[in-house]
Amino acid sequence: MSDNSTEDVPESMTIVAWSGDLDKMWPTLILGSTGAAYGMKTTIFFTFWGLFPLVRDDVRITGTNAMTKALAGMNRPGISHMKLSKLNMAGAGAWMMKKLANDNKVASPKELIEMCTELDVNLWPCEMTMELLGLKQDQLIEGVGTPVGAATALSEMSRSQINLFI
Amino acid sequence: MSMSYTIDLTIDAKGQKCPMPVLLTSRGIKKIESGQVMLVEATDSGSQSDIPSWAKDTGNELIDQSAEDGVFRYVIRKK
Repeated sequence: MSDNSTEDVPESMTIVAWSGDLDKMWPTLILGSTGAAYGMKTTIFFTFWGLFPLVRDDVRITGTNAMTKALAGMNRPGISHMKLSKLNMAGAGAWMMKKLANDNKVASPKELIEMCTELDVNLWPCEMTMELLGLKQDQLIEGVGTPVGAATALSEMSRSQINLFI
Repeated sequence: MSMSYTIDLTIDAKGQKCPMPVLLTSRGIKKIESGQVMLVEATDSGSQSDIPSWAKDTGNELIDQSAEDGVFRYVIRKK
C-alpha cells in the first residue's frame, strides 16, 4: 500500500516560534534551515515573543502608547539582542554562550536566519503580534514574508508532516 | 573505494559546525547540474552521519566518502 520512494522523507515542516529567548530561537533556526536544506517546504511562524528576533537590530519599538513603549524597553528586539531564558545574568549568560559558540565555529542566530532566507524558508510574522506591538513590515529584517494570522499558520501545519512549537 | 569522476564544484565546510556543513552542501547542489559531481570537505564529525543521511533523503548519490587528517570528504553526484 505504501509508496517507498516518498514515505521516508517528510515534505513539509512548520515550526511555531513563540519564544524570543536565545536558547529556543537558536535550535528553531538550526532546524528550520536544515529542513530547507533537506528539500522540505519549511515555514516558521513567529508569534508573540518569537517575533522580536525578526525586528531589525537597529529598530527600537516606539509603540503606540506608554505600555508598548515600556514593553519594548523590557524586551529589546533584534536577532542580536536575544536573552537566555535561564541564567541570563543581565546578558552575561547570553554573551558567554555566543562567545563559546563563536569560538567553536557554531553559526550565530544572525547567520542562520540569513541562511534560512537564502534557502527559501518561509518566515511568517504573526499579524496580530505586529499590531499589538505597533510594528510595521519595514521594521522587520529583509526576507520576511507578509504577516499572517493563526488560521494561515494552522492551515500550513495541517499539511506538514513535522510540526514543532518552540 | 575508487571511482573515476571529475569534481565540478568543491564546497569548503572545514571548521564549521552542525548544521553548516549540510546547509553549505544544500546550497552547493543548487549550483550544479544534474549528473555533475560536488566535493564537500568538512571537519565536523557530525557530518559523518548528516551528509550521508542528507544525500539519501534528497536522492543525491554519495559516490565516495573518505577521511584523512581530520578532514572528511564526501563526493556527491547530483540526481
